[in-house]
Amino acid sequence: MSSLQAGTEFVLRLPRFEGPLDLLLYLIEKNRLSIEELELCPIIDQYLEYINAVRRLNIELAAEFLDMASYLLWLKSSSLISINSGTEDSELVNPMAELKEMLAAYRGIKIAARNLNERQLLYRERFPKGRTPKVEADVSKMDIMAILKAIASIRERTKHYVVSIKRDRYHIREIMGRINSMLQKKKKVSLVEVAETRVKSEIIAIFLAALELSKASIVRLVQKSIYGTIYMVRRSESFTSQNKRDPLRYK
Amino acid sequence: MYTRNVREIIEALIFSSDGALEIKDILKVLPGISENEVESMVNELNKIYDETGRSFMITRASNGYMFVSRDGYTQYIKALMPPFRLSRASLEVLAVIAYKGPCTKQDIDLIRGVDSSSSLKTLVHHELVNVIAGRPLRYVTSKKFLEVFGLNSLSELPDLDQFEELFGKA
Repeated sequence: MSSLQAGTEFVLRLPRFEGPLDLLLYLIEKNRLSIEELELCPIIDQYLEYINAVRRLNIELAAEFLDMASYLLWLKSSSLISINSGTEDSELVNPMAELKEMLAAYRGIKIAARNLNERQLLYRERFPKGRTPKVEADVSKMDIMAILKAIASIRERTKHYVVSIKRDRYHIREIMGRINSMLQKKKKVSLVEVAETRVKSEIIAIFLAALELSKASIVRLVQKSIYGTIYMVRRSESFTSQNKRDPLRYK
Repeated sequence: MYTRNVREIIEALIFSSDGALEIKDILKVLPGISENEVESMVNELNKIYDETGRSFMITRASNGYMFVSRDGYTQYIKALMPPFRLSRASLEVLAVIAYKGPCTKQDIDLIRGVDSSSSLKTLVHHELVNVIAGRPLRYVTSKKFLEVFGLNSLSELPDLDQFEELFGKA
């Protein structure tokens, strides 16, 4: 079978295909067919062979190649159906004709692209007055020192905009524990007392911890007036071992 | 009529222009001079450059004229600035825009059967393609495109049908 040979050949040619249409055109040409007399069966088999060969090499294939594969299979199956039922659908769009049209259009563009390439003299053979083309720096060809230098200069330039942020992490459970031990010494603790710092995130964590404790019926939250100090008052019996629920495990 | 030779005025105009200077702009500065006269004077200038062994000449592009280096100097210029080449994908995208433009990215993807984002980006970056605002964005070839590919207008591009004849209905 020629499939194996063909497979290896395709793999070598891989980078040349711009897309599924390009690959199809190649296969058509290889089979000495014209777009007009395109026969699907051999082309589909070779197309799928190519895709499998590429996948065996673990090369990531553009999704478009797979789209086309399923489209071709669908086309093949629908053409079989239409032969069997004997209905030449004249009203419906002939999907085969559509594919041929796509291939012809793409081939036109491919040739036009080649023609453009041949036309280009400027910036290749002749250079215009005083205008340097924008040349992209090819990072792969740069030595590591140049890259490090570039990074350093970017750092230097952007130094003023870099603000280092220290993230304070407060665990609500940890603060619930803290409140617990405070409430063991006295019956009533204000939220503000619990705070060890003035950091906003800690205040928020304390507030959430207070809500959790209240929800677990361990404390009662008391506030005498709007904006007044909020106190947590230990609920008498709930805090003892009678309470089966461990507040620290409360989520 | 003019304080200087018309021929040298034309030379100065082309010299000071950034990119190709359109003939209609030359005619604006020099009323009473015809397009044919401009052309023959440019030919004279080129003849002088040739005879005196200059390294440059005036070439026709984008409905106008621009100075370019002569072919014999390419290798030296290339040492300073690498030649500019487009990838096959970019050339295909450019071809679609040149023949079908103004067109959307979707149009381009449809014809090529693959995504064209990165090629489009390259072409816009190199100013070969202009973007027409709107939804969706549309793309057209630029004046620089005409200069780079030595065209006066898009109509000078060979017909896609002509390609069919050239390459047969393969």
